Amino acid sequence: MKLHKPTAKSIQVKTSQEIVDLAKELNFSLDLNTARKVIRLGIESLNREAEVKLALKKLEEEKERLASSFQKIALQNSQLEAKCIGTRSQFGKVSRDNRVLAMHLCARTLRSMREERLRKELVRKYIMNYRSA
Amino acid sequence: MNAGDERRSTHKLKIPIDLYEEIGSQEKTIRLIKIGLLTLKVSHLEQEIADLMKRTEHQKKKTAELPCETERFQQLLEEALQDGKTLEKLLGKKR
Repeated sequence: MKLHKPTAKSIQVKTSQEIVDLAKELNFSLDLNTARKVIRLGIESLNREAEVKLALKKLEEEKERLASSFQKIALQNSQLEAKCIGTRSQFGKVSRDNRVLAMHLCARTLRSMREERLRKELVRKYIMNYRSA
Repeated sequence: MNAGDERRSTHKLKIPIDLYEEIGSQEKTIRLIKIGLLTLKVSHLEQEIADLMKRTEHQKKKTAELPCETERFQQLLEEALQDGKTLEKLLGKKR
């Protein structure tokens, strides 16, 4: 392995594709400062290399399992949400139609106290206290 | 993956010279970088898993709430439809 002429504070070494891919995956830029931190971390973990690799394998399996479970639940929820939005939308439309009818009713002469009471209730509901869905 | 399987690339890394001299060899330096990155990956995965669990809990909460919310709107809709019939009757409209 040919080493390049060292600069004052650093030396260039050829690295493996595996390391390049790992750094990319972690969105990690390997410059002079970060290389120092990574190497120090490597020194600390040197005796636990097998343990680190095993932990990685288990974590990757766990992540895959959780991601699959999340996708199923999210899909189920998107269907539930669509149903909820649909029902709310229908209610909104009927409410708006009722509001228009209630406004027309304001101008009508009604025949009985019962009808007057009903009108008062519907006007309160669809005009005075109206809120869109 | 053993050293033989590792593909060598044209990528170069700058290593602090004091650290390189402390380590003593290029191969060992590369190995330490790899282990360091794998250790970082463990932390990264642990964080991703924690995030996933949090998002999954949020989705489970929605799964419990959405049917109740739909039922509430369904009841409001039925009431509004009934009100609509009453309004039309009061207006003298034929259905």
